[in-house]
Amino acid sequence: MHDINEEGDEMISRIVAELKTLPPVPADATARVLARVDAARRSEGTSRFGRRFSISLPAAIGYAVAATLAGFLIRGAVPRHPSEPTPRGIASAPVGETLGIRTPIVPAAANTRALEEAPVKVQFVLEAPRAKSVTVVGDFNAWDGSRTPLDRDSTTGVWSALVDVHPGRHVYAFLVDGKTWTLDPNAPRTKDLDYGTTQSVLMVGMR
Amino acid sequence: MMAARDAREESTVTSGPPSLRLIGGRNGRGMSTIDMSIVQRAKRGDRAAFAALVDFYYARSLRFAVHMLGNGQDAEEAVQDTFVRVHGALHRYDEFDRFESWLFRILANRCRTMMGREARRSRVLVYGDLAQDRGTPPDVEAIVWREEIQAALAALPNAQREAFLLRHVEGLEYEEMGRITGAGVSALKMRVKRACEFLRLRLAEVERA
Repeated sequence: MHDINEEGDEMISRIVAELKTLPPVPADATARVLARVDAARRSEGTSRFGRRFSISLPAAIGYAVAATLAGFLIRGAVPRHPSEPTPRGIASAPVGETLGIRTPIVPAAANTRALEEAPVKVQFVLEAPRAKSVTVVGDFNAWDGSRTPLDRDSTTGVWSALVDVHPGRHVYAFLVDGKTWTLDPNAPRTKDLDYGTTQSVLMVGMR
Repeated sequence: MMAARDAREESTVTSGPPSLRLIGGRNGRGMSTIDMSIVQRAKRGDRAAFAALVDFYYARSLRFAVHMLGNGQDAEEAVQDTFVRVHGALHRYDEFDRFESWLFRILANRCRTMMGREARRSRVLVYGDLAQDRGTPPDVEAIVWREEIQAALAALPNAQREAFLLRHVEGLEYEEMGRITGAGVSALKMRVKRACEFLRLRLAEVERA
């Protein structure tokens, strides 16, 4: 079949030239794709875990206690003395405590399950005086770069946000200016086995 | 409006360590193609390589989706969904198939799905959202011309619009288009022919007006 106007038709050429204009791409487009990919993977991992294991309540309590202790050990977050200086940038603080590390405040709960599920206010902090924006992305916010922006302290250039995080182990990173994956300089790190990327680790314990 | 980066053939990934720099080539019809080693690395789970793929193809994918859906927000959603699906299916990608064809197959499917949803809403034309140099005074004639083209494109049957865009805007071969759309080469040529006839007629009227 004759392929009409493959070349030589001025009108179609003008139309095509116009349609070939590339649209602007949002600066955070790739970061959003990666965040969604991570969220999808974590969701798959959670469901696989749920299918593979059926954990009894006593075992669950044991795991929770072990995870809590491990978290404190990894972060060195158990306050040895109330006046001990606070490591900067570690993402942990109870409500109303700025940059301080204390045992997270957990709402009173009637049973272990409620205790495990009750979210804890955690403060994420990053010193980035030249950044135009900072958000935190992690498994607790579906790696959504738009969900948790940090506020900038204009005098110090320190960005921070209080976030509700459920007890347990979490991984996260900061997204600076919508595109630069930035680890918490003061938090433990872990390597993602599938992607080889590195993430910061946060352990949120409970009373 | 959030900051936008220009679409480019040369791309530096900044969304996760390590940084990766890549330079694409061109296929026989003048379109950018990606270095296959990047695709292979992404397939092996290299996050930076996958980010490079997204960076490299995002603008073209968004262009196709905008033209197919006529709505910038839906187009963004379609492209984001497409890349998430691409990631999930990369392990099934057969390297004998050109990556671009494979990507556009997923994207075209996603657009078709969204067109079903969109059909329930009014079509919102968004060419105003597309590349505009905001620092220079608007060229009214150029804007009107763009809008007329978009209106004419929107008036095409979906299958004709898809075939026209894949052939003339994305520069794909008919065999590749067949793999993307599931239609035969003859049918695709006919769709392109009819789309050209319609667009030529419609826009000639605009010029005469």
